[in-house]
Amino acid sequence: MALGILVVALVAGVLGALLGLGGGIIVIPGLTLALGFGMQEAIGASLMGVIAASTGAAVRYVKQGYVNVRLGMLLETATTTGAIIGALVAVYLDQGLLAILFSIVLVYGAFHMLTRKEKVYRPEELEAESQLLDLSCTYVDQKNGEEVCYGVKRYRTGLLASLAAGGLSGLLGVGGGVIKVPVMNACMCVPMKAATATSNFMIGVTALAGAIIYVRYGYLDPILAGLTAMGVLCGAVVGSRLTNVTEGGSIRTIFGVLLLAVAVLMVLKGLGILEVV
Amino acid sequence: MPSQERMNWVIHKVLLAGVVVSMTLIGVGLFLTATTPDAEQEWIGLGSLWDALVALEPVALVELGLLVLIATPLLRILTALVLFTTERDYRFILIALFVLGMVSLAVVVDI
Repeated sequence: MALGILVVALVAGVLGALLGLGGGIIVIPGLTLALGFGMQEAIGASLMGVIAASTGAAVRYVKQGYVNVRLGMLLETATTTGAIIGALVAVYLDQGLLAILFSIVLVYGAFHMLTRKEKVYRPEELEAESQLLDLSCTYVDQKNGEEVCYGVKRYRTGLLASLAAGGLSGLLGVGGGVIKVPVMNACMCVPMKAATATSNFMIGVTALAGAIIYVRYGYLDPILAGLTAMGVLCGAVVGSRLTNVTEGGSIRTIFGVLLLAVAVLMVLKGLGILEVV
Repeated sequence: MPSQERMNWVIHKVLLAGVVVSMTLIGVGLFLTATTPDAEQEWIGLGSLWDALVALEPVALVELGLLVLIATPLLRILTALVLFTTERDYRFILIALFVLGMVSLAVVVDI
């Protein structure tokens, strides 16, 4: 059993670090469907795993400069607000309808990522937008040694989308990376590697609120949470190393396919065919 | 941009310290739980955690590790706040304070 938990957590950690997700999308179904844990224990363990994944991947991404710290902090204002609003209104909304709406957003994001090419703007091209907040950032792509200097477009749209991402994480118990990464990449013109790294960096703070509540009420199974955290962290360390040998384009493709898969799961959940996700 | 490099360096160290400390505690705690016969496996309330730690309960070590893990992103926001303050970057001081406020709200609000 302990081995099963570690395997689920490892896989979630690798994919999470590579794609900028917390891995809850893998940990929760893995623990409940495959290993038979209850939903509440699984969510508690998943929250700890999300923080471990985020922190473990960010250690490396921050050092290498892939993370845009300022952009991350700015969007965190919206994700944390959204998470609290989401948790508060979760009681009043029909979750099935919400799951279907969510999957429509995911399908849109998936097609966008699979069919369009990435555009990077240099900071000076976006002078007008950076007057209020300068979010431009530079990193060196370790895969080909190229220095990438990019400006950030449409941060207001990004804030709104982050509010939605945070709200969904409060409502549906997903990390919100599935929304943040495509929005940063497709709408704000942040290069894919910087978008996944910055998303990883932010997720720990979004999960923080939920984790604090679980700890306050003692809803955690310490052994399960400890095993999940360790497994996810080891996976995240491996996954964050893989970024150096993969290309932004292939991460985009994997991400697009994953979005479609999650969308299908969400529709099944929304129609009541699948109980857990 | 030197300020970007300094911020990355400091935050990297903070995150690394959090990961190493929490994973050591969780790892040792899990190992002791697995090797101690009839070891306690239930969650210990925060009120009695200190007593359990003094009594060297293995599960208390795991819990302490989980708490350190939770504290790490929080510490990361505080670190960024300090760095923004030294740079007199007022817009981002406000942004960091706002994020801290929202997280504290989650501690207070009953959901």
